Amino acid sequence: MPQEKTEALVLRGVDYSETSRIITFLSPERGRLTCIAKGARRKNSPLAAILDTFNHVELIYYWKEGRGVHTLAEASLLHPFPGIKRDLERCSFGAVPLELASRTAHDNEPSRAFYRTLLHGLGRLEQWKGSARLHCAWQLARLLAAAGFAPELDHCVQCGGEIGHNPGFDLDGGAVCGQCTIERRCGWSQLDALKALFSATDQCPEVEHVDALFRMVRAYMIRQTETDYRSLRVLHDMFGS
Amino acid sequence: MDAFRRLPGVGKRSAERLVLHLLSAPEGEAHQLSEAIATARARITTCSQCRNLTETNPCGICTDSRRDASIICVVEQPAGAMAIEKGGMYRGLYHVLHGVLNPLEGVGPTELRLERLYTRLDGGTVEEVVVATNATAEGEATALYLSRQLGQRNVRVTRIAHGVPMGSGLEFSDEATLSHAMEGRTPLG
Repeated sequence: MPQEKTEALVLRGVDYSETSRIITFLSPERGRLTCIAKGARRKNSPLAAILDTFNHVELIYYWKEGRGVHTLAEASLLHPFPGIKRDLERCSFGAVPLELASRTAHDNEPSRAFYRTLLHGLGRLEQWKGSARLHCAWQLARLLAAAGFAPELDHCVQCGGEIGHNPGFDLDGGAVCGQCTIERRCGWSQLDALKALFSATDQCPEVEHVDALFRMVRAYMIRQTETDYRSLRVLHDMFGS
Repeated sequence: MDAFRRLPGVGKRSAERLVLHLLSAPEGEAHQLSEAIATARARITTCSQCRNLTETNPCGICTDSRRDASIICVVEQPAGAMAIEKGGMYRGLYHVLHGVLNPLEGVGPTELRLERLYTRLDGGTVEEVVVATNATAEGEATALYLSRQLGQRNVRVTRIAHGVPMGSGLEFSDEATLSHAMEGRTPLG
């Protein structure tokens, strides 16, 4: 079996058998990558700490074509994101981008832009002093854009015309002008803030309407990826909507 | 053999070996084993106070008057309480969560049934809660959440220390443990 080496982010892990864990990573070359870490739960195994959720790691694994779970040979820690793990809001809201990555990235498919976006977003979250909810909305917006789900925000998605006044946001595609029919209107200031979220590549912009923006991005993500997110239900339980 | 293979850590070969052993052993041995399993299933339940596994309800630890009822140690699983008991240094009570906050797996405060812990604290005898969840992202999140929730209840919330295992060399420790140990250093003397 050929060995491969890559850097990756730990998305999630589950216990397997008495001593092993199955870890899901996001890697730039192989996309979502699932490996069994044999002996990771043994006493004194250094793998347990290295393969913690959120960690940025370097892996060496045995790749076998056609197999869903590969065998981890070695792992070393590049960055554990302590600034995320030691803050309740950051680590709770930070779980949503991880779940988005774990549900939308494909196995064995290069995901360089998606990987870079997630890694960059976690780095920014670690330093972020503002609302974790807003940062989460920004990270989700950036990841959705990297995965090809960016909404159309400059022209009406229904008629193609200028947005004009009294705009709305359609979860199926983006902004809607005042003349076209939409269940709920969002107003210009929210639409501008949404544009800022989707277009800010380097860091989360300081914008208003945090709760409304989070709800919009959350609903858009659920609709576009056709997935229910467990982390969102837990967030609601912990911090309300 | 299929029944044995459902047990953790038992593969095809181990199951075969266990079955052959039971078939070749005196008949009473097999009956004794099956009875022991049935009895354990029937008798062992979770303690209504601390949610630890027990044969009596409340459990022996909760009803032991020699234990310090002013301290509760919160652990993820019954195995955590067993490990601390083996250490023999802790004389307080326990509370077993049967899980940790894990947004990615959909485990939130509701699933951990934290109200039972809050009810125990409302009794007024508890002065300190030691959070002994594992040193993982999920364990840390649970500790932070508990600290926030319990902080409003006028109890001291502490976290167990994390670091290098006793008797182990630094060169055998992983980077994450070492950096945690370095950050949690304590003054000497």
